[in-house]
Amino acid sequence: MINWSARVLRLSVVLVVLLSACTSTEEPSFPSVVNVGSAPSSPGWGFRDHTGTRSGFDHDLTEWLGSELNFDPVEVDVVTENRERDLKNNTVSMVIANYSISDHRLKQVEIVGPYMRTQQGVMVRSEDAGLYRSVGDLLGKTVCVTSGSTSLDQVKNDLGVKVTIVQKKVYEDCRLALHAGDVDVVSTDQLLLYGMAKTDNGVTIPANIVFGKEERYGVGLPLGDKVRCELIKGKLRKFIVDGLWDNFFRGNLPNVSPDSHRPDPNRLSECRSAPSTT
Amino acid sequence: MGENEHGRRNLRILAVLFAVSCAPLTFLDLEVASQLAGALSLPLAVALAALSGVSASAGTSALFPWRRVLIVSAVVIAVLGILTVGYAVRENTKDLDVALSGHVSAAGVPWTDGGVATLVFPESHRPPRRDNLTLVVSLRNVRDSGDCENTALLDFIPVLDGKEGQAISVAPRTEVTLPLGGAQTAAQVKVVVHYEPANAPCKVLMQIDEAVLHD
Repeated sequence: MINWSARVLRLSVVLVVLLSACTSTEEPSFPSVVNVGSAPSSPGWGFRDHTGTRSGFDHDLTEWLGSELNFDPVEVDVVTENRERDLKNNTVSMVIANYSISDHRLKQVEIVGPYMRTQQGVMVRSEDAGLYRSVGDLLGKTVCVTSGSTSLDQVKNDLGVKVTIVQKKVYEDCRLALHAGDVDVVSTDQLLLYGMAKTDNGVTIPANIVFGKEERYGVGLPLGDKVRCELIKGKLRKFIVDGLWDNFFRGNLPNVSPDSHRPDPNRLSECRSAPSTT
Repeated sequence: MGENEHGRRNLRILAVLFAVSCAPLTFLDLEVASQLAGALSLPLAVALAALSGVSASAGTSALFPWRRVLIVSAVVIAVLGILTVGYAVRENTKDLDVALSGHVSAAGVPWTDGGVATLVFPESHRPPRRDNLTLVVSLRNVRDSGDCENTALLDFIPVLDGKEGQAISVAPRTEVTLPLGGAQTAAQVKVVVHYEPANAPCKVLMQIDEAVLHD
């Protein structure tokens, strides 16, 4: 009788151990190493110097997300026009590179956020700063933007004055074209322009020249990756609420007021479980 | 003429009279006629059943089975009546999909902040045949830039006989139910799109994903 009781007890213990072993084999949400698409030439946001060292708000955010979600981020250069393609073909598993949330992109990828708000502005040579006081002063000028960016669409459709558009792969090429006199103006998100001006004393950003819709940056993911989307969304909310957002902003853009750029942590976009067919 | 043949002749005359008495129904609208016929058939069935009892107590001839004919007729008419009434009840209470998409006054013209569209019911739903309308409306950004499809707020305002009701505000792709009860002639739905100032340049087209009338 005693033997039977002991056997049943041993069997129960073995079953409990087996069951707990089964439940503990749950896969982690992220692999130990994650390729993250980063901008290579946006000072203050995503910048890689000649030694390969990266810096900027997006770089800091990437590192922080890695530490919070237990993965080692490997930053991979992405250019604006290839970000959706790189996510779709798994060249990168995530994009943190001034990636604006847009309806057009949301049909192809998921973008969690926003973690930043800005509006489109312009950058001109400092010696020409007096010529640019309003959007109307851009009439007839040559404007440099990156291919495939929302900035390109807004210069085409929302600027309201006729300009000549020159497209480059990255904004660093636009900045060089500005100094070379090949273009009159560089146009993109004001926060990106402030970042460029941080390392270039020869440029000015007319604060009053803004146009188009608000740009909201988010973290790009493959479409339908709802589990990771929810995890990142929760971390972004914490990032904004706990004050780390302010620290990163002030550290990377010390001369810019953060208030109008901080998003509402309670109004982050909903994660989608399946590809949108609309 | 025997009792049996006399009974059959009377039955034929009754059948012809019954058919002729139904003729006025053909002048009515099919739906009304079927409802009326269904409603009348039930008391008729009861009357026939009662008559069968009277004929039995009166001791009518056993040569022609009047009582059996009356009972069978009552049962057949009652079954048909119940089916017809049941069908009519279902037709009058079931949810109705309505095609409002072709009646959007802003169709084809992109909306901007503050834009108004009026959803008009088709002719067959004036006034609407149910007390509530459940709608799901989505937006389509006409540009490559901007996060416009999910960041708008839509006001839905029922307009009953020309009088505006209480507005209900929801995000796009969210179900909204509007009360339409009491409309005597016609009902419309006014939809107004709102954006925060930062997204005021958004230009969108409206699409009706669902429009169902129900009680």
